[in-house]
Amino acid sequence: MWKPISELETFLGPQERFDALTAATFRRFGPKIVDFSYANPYDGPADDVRHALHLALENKSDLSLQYSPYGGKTTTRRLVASKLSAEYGLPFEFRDIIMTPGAMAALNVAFRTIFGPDDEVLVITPCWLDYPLYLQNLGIPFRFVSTTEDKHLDMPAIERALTPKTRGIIFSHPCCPTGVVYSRDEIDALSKLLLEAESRLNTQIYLISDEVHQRLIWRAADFYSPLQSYPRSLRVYSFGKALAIQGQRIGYVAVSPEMPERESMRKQLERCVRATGFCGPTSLMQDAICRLLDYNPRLDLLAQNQEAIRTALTACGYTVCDAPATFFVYVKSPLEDDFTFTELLASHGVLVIPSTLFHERGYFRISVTAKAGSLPSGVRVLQQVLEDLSVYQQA
Amino acid sequence: MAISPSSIAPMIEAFIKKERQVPDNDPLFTRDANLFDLGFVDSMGFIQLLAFIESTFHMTFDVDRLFSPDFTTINGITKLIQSRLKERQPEWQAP
Repeated sequence: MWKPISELETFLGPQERFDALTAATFRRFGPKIVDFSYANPYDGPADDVRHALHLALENKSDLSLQYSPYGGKTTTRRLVASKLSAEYGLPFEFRDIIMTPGAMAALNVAFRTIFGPDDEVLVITPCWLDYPLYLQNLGIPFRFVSTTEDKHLDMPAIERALTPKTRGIIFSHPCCPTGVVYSRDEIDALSKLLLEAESRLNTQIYLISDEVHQRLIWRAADFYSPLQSYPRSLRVYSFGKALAIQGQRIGYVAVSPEMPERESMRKQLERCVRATGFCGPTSLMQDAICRLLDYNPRLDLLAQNQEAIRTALTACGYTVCDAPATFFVYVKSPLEDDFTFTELLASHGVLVIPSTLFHERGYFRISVTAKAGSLPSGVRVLQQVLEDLSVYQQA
Repeated sequence: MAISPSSIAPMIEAFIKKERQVPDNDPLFTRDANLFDLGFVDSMGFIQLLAFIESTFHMTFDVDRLFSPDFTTINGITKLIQSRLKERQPEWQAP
């Protein structure tokens, strides 16, 4: 059931502890800091993206900045639906798209619409940091299910976790924090597993696929969405990542056209936007993204930096998760306590995120969005710290 | 501006395409498509469309016509406009 915010300490505390470390490290090192933590694009958005924002603002139509319907501007929803139809080969209609101020709102709308206090949601870990926070905040029970050693879906573990109360499963794809893209075989196997479970347990299981990094697959890998395989799927998306405008908060939740409850689901999602009172996006950003639906970010520099960091870290002895997407490099922590290791790096002016924030112990995440030129110095510190630790442990 | 019977549908089509950002290659955008069901026009878009019809063809429609199934497609709207123009000018022939 609903709890006061003060009782959500378990999932609020770790990030607040990390943010305090971040603030102290920024004060100590100032501009010399190497910030590998949050995926803030230090190089900023491309000129095309800024131009689209300008054009949206210059739209002189009388109604351009007024209220939009719950669910979003019809034109925006239709254009997004058309784009998804072309990409996924599914007949999306505009009502399948519920526009929200970013993926955070989309997740809250989806959770609040679908799940209740008598349900249980499986959260695949490591996962984006606030899925459990949102679920707990909404009074929705959940259960963590770990991925395999190589951070792919662990089908036997998922199967073991399924019960008659299981109503949903959530993961990000490509995965934050690991960068792993689940294969078509994996997605199809999961779909088969869930369909069998629905039949066996006489229940309905909704799969929420958080696809905010879909356009950030920097090494050749096929992207296959659960919406193409499993009828009771929903896609959560944010335009912020690919356009490098994370703070502008524009995204959506999309209902699979194959969903048996398609009509009622999209209606309830629209109603949930109204019920929350804060999940409607701005008119300006809805206008702006219409001009950016075909925009593809330049991935060559990201790919180059990713490969450089991965190669360098592997060469100096780190175990790096093999992955082809996202801004992130997921690395095994040399210390079992990833937070302690993060603090050690911070004491040398390098900020990474401990995997505890992603609900897994023993790893850390590097975001390759730091200022151009700071990557080599960051890698040097990581190398030095590992060498120092090795000497210390041997002694 | 002289309006020929055959120019009405293209004018409405072009107006909706421009104002409602319909891509040239949208396979769903046809003259018999339900503009509301497919999201080509919503309540705000309807206001724009009515204003366009009023200023271009110098006519308004009563509520019954606005809610008729004809007013949901380009061909239907064209038929209504042609009918009104014919009333105004009996010699005007629909195509």
